[in-house]
Amino acid sequence: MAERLSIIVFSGTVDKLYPVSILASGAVAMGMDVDIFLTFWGLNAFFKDTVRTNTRMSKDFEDMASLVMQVMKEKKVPSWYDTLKRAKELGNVKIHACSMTLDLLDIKKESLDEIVDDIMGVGEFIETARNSKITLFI
Amino acid sequence: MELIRAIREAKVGEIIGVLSSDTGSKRDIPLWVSKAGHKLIGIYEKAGYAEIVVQKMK
Repeated sequence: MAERLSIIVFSGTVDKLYPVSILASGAVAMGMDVDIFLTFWGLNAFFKDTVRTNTRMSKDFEDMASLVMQVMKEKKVPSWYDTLKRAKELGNVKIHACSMTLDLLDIKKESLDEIVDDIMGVGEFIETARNSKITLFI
Repeated sequence: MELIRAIREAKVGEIIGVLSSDTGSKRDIPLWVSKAGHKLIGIYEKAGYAEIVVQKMK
């Protein structure tokens, strides 16, 4: 059975969503399964209508935001979303929405992007993380 | 990732060349190749990029 990488995605800024998708890609390349748990700002970043247009950057580095976006564009770097989508196409990547965040903010699964597979409670995700070789909080 | 897709779509025995200007690729790709059971034919340095040649073995 393949080893697993679990990632808890709490952040919703582009600079932090990139490592989520790049680490997922690296894990897929190394033959690992990936389980991603979207919570709070992480879940907020996966709304159907804003997932591709997010330009938020970490507050500490907001003065670099436009430079970063410009460099990404110039070097034709795929978006974090496309990178994650590609990882999903090439490997076993499951994306779970945190049920508590959904309930708290009255979010319906239908308003989330199709890339989100299902809804999971924290207990179930802890079990998933317990059975993972690598667990990260981003 | 492009190599993974290309390997998937290739027939066993086919040879694939990856052109990459990313210096990490020169280490990542051979690592992936050995893990996935394929053959690294060679890494050829060019002007500003490397050509990494891989053969699909299974």
